[in-house]
Amino acid sequence: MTDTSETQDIERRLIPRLAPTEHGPRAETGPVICSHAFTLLYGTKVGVRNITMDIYRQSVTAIIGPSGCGKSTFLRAINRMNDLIPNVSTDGRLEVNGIDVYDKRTNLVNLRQQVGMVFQHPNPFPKSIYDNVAYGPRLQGLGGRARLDERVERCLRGAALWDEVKDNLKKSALALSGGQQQRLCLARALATEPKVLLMDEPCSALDPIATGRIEELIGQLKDIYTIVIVTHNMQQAARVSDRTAFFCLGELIEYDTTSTIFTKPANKRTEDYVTGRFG
Amino acid sequence: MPELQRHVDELMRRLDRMGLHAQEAVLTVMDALNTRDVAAGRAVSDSDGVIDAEEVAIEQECIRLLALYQPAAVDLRRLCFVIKANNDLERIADKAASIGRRIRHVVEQGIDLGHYTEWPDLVDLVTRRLDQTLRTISSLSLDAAHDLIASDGDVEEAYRRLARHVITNGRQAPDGVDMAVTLVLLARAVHRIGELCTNIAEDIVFVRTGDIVRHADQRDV
Repeated sequence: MTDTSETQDIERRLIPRLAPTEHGPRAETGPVICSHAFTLLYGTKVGVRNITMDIYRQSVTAIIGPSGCGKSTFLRAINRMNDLIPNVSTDGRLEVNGIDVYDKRTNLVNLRQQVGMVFQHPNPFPKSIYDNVAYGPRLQGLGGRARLDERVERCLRGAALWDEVKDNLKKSALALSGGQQQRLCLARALATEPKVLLMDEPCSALDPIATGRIEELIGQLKDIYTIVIVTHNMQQAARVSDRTAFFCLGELIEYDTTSTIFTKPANKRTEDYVTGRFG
Repeated sequence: MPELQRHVDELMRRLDRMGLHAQEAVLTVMDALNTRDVAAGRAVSDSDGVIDAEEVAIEQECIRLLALYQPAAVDLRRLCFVIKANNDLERIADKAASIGRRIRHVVEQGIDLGHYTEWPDLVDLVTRRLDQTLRTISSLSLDAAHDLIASDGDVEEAYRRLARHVITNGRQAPDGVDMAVTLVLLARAVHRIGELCTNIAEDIVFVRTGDIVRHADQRDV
């Protein structure tokens, strides 16, 4: 469990820099991701259809739904991870921080700097712990050893991994446990200073203890980042998120506060899904 | 049908049976009171342990299901309802047991309940209300639950009428205070049964809608 001093350290180091308003880190609460009638097709097959939803700043939004419902497709669409799949086409509009994600003029590198991603299976580079975290900042041209050191330490602290690895930063990332590797991937995602963190089943390959640590981190990081998490684990969605979207057959069925979705959903299909009656 | 749903359905059936036990205790004790049958009253009091044990068993099963299944939506609401209504039904049976123990005082103090026309009014109102509550637990009818909530004031009014009469008489009669205390305690127990029925009705509204209507006038709902 992250101790209080570590939490305070995260706040001291990250909050003032990323949200330099006098009202504190949660001053901006409007939408950061706006999807309007967004559709994505794999050839003629529907990935997601006509998705209209706003994802709010500095909050955790969970996307749930049965396999093949389009939740990962939508998540990956936010930073155009589907671009490499042949015959993908889109319609409608998807914005991140006012930037039209699918506008031909949109700079993909800039977009992905703003939108970090953590995947289902930990995928550290076969490099040292330090180099994994420093990889993005180096690409961004962050110069000076001291500044790089400071960024690496800050992100490892942000991912609640610093205390475990600070004496072994040159050690191979592949030698870490699964849970540590996933937190390293989180630190790597934080290192480019994104506004949005996308998490695609980030705990599905982790044991309950490591899962608990990641969930705790999500709770802390939402004070700074906008987090979108796809999960098959509905209890996890209920625990970590502020809002939940239920997808089915590529469509957004219901989107509301997590409390509402899990206690009194308005749609019968949502109710059937969260109670295990289908899916 | 998912396993959790089957377990919750079974719990709802156990809750129905629990309600019938509580109702039987209430009706038996009211008969005992009318016939001044001290032994029958004591029997109701003595049998309260059976209902207490069933209450604990139902609660344990609810806790087991919460821990194992982490239910959501309607399953969560139904389980919360079982926990709360189970407790309320046990307290209704407790009130019946309490009345059963007091029959001895009624006989010893020579209290004539026939003197108070408000007494059968209160008892009729509450026993009918309890019957309607048990039917609503079975049907989970939202309309019936709202009817019960809306008529909550009738029980209050019947209790106040009786209490006023008892207190007035108590001031006038030489042994009036002891008799008044016994009567007011009996009336309060019956009145409380009516209130517990209202609690159950409010929880039925929660099962059906997810809205907590309890103390709604004191909250921003």
